[in-house]
Amino acid sequence: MLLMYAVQYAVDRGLRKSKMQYFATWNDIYSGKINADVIVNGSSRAFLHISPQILDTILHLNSYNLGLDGWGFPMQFARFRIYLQHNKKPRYIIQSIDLDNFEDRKDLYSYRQFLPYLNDREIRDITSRYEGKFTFPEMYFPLFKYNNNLNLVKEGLFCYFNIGKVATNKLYKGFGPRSFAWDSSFERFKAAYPNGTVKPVQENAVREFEQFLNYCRDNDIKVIFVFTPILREELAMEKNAGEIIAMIDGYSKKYNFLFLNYANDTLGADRKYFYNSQHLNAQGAALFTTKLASDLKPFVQAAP
Amino acid sequence: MLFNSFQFLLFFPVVTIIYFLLPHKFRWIHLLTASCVFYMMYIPVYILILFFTIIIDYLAGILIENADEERKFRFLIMSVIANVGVLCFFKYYNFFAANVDLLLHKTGGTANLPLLNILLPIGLSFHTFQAMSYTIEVYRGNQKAERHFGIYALYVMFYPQLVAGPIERPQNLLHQFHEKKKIDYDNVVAGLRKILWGLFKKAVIADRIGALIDPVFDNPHNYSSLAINVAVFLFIFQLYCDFSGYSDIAIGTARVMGFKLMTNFNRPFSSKSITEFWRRWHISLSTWFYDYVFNPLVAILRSWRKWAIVFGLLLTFFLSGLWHGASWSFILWGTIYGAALVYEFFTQAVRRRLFGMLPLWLNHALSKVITFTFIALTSVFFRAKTVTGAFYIYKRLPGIFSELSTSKSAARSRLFGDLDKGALLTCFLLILLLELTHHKEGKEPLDMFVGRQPRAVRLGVYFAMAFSIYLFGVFTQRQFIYFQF
Repeated sequence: MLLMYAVQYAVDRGLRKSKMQYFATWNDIYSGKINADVIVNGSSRAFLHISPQILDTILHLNSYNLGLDGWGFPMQFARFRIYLQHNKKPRYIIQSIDLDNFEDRKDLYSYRQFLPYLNDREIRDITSRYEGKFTFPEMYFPLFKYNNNLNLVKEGLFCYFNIGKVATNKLYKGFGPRSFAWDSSFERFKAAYPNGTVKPVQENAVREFEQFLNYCRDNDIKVIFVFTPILREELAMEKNAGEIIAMIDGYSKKYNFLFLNYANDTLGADRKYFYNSQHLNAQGAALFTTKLASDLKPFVQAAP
Repeated sequence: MLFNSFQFLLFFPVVTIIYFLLPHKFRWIHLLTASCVFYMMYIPVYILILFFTIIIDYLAGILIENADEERKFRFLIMSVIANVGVLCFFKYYNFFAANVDLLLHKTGGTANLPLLNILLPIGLSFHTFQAMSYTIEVYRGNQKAERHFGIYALYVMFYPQLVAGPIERPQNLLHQFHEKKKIDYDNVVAGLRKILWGLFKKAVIADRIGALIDPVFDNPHNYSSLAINVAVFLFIFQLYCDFSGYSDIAIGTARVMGFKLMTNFNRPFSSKSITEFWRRWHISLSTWFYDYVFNPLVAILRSWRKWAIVFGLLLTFFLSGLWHGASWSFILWGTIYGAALVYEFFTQAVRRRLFGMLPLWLNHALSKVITFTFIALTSVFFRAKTVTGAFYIYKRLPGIFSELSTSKSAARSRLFGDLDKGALLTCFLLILLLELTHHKEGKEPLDMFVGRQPRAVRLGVYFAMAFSIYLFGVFTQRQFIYFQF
């Protein structure tokens, strides 16, 4: 039993140094070495669309992408709160808005990313809201949380002892563009929902979004809402897209935050720049970020 | 509470320790209370249904024993109607209503029967059958009516086998509750060993296979024919490991306390015929149907000679299919087995002659392969849940030939795109381990084989299995497949 606790300690510590995609950004957050001027916040449409490298080059600022694949605003906000516990607050936040922004998922998606940090109260609290949340044995029995994740145990031990081949960092400051070919998910979506869909707007997600905006306003952090490009055909199928965009517009006016809306950008007319209807591919992301950075330039001050 | 849950990990030792600490006269109260707690972890109010049938059958048993022949039969019918009535109401009413509506709709009419929005009480099919076997055996004079209400209630509700069997007979189980049980080292070791093996089959093998093949069965149109064939082949092992794993845990749990439950599975994949398969698979259910449906039916219809057997087989397996689920896919599944057994009944001599011409090893191998293939293919009805879904899968199966003939390497790439290579390899290795164990069991009971090994080897095996369960067991909230019945 003691040996198992020792192994778990080594695995946890090792994974906190790992560059594996699950953990790279979390590890940067916990290390306290990000301290960026510009934080990119949002879901996969932030994670895949906004390149810190391009932003840094054009804006002469230090930026970092905290985009969280697969999660709505509540988890994004939780990640941002953890970021603030270990890093200094940013001057600007580029908050990527998408139509799922105010829909919190039911399940604990991509649970593996949280495994090395279960001793963090914030992580335990936020993950406890979801189906498939971590159970008592997973939190307190040694190594049980790594059940069926031997690859993580191996990676953790290798990183801890600095031996063997470990994962390389495929992200650049949290940004992970994808060079995928167009997939058939949109065709399946159209077949399943020929009359389109209505995206939920959940009260708790809205409440947390407003808490976030209030915090930023009170701490002199300028938020820039960005609706990144989306395939026009997809946008046409989301019946309440206009409503959600209008909500963001309302917040923009209320808090005096900038709103850059690329929902109808020319990129959205060409599938060549997308790998599915909601996500730009690497080429599209590069083009978009360049455009975004140029549009942001008049509004942001370079770091002193 | 599931057997592969943290709650059971606490529940079982606490209940067992208290059991042995209590004086014998209080033990039935303790076990009955524990069984109530176990059952009420699902939907608490459903315990009232259980009490209803327990009271009916307890009284029926006493009335049957004291009555004359004519009234004996009436009391038996009363008990059977009460039990079957509860089962039909909760399990079959919606199926019945939906099909009556459909039938009337096709003929231009409408019934608009209301559908019930209720969950099936867990284990209903199992404890109902166990309760019916009691009143039937009392009626037949094979079992004295139990006068102690608490002991009778415990017979129905005994928690290790309450929700998914084995379906016990009163002659085997009832008297054990009257016997004073002492802590017996051999029972404890044998029981724990059985639990460990059951958990390994369930959490390491069954759930791992399930994680791999569930997406294929849920969305078969997204997968290649090769992947579908692999999933069909693997499903029967998932089903076996899930259900036999549960049975082993139930048997082992009871054994630790000194109770001996019946064997429910006996190396079913060694079967050389469908007839033999049903002597080895879910033995408690197949013997129940044999003793209480098939045999009496054949006796009543004996003037029909062999057609009595044909009718008996078809009806028995029709009912068995229906027992498994209120859907046409289960009914079809059962009927196919009935037809297969009728076929074997009529062709027994011919097949013996034909297969007898082969060398013995080939005879046995071929028989096992044919039997296994039949079982694996029919299990599609079990998994697909609808007849349409099952037929879609059957339609896709032959596509494997064109996929393999076009390009083996492309087919292999597609398969490993559809199904994770590592997970697939792991499943096949686990199945190999399972079948090696079965092969060993064919020569010597596994218990005896393990018990003969040096202590260090035994402890090493137990530790390896426990560690495997701990690190490789799948513990998502996955129910035992047979809980749905």
